[in-house]
Amino acid sequence: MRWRLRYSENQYERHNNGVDIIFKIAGIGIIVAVVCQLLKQTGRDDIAMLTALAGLVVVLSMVIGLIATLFNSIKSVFDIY
Amino acid sequence: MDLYSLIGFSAVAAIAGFTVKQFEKRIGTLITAGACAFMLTALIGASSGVISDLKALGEMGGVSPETLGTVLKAVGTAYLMHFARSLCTDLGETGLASAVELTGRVLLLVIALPAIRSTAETVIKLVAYSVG
Repeated sequence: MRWRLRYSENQYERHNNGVDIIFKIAGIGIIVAVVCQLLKQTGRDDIAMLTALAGLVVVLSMVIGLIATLFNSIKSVFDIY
Repeated sequence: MDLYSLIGFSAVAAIAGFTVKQFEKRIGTLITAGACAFMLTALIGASSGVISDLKALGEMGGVSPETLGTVLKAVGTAYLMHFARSLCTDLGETGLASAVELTGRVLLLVIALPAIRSTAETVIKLVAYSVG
């Protein structure tokens, strides 16, 4: 149990980088696409559009975090304003 | 992050972006943008030691911190503007991308203007000294 705990901690440390957020965004994109297709097939085009919009907003909020990290690090390293 | 992680990360991000672009074009583009931002953040983290070394070297050589700060500010501005420009190009907005590029150039000029001015003043002083 103990080694498993330690192993999982190591795994968390190893995967606590950009790859997991990329996979998260890709999963959201595929799920949104499937749901949109289903809704379009059943004739609910307006809800499909809303679903696509909601997925886009969720993904955008995740990407904004990455971009904010980039901006903050550039600001602190290069002393811009 | 080390070299191989970054290579694997770029490959994974490219495959994921390409795959998702088939279904949802906008989300696929956002994957690419997020991967770009993460990659550039990793580069900044790796190069911050280089920049502090450069500052130490400049102090050893007698370069004033203002001059080095101006150069660093210009480099950072160019970096940010390059990121914004490539983001606009990825999203297919070439007009906005060229506007961002022009804005970046003008901002760089604004940053570099004090250095240009002090150089010109030095040259004018030298000319006045040699003539008069």
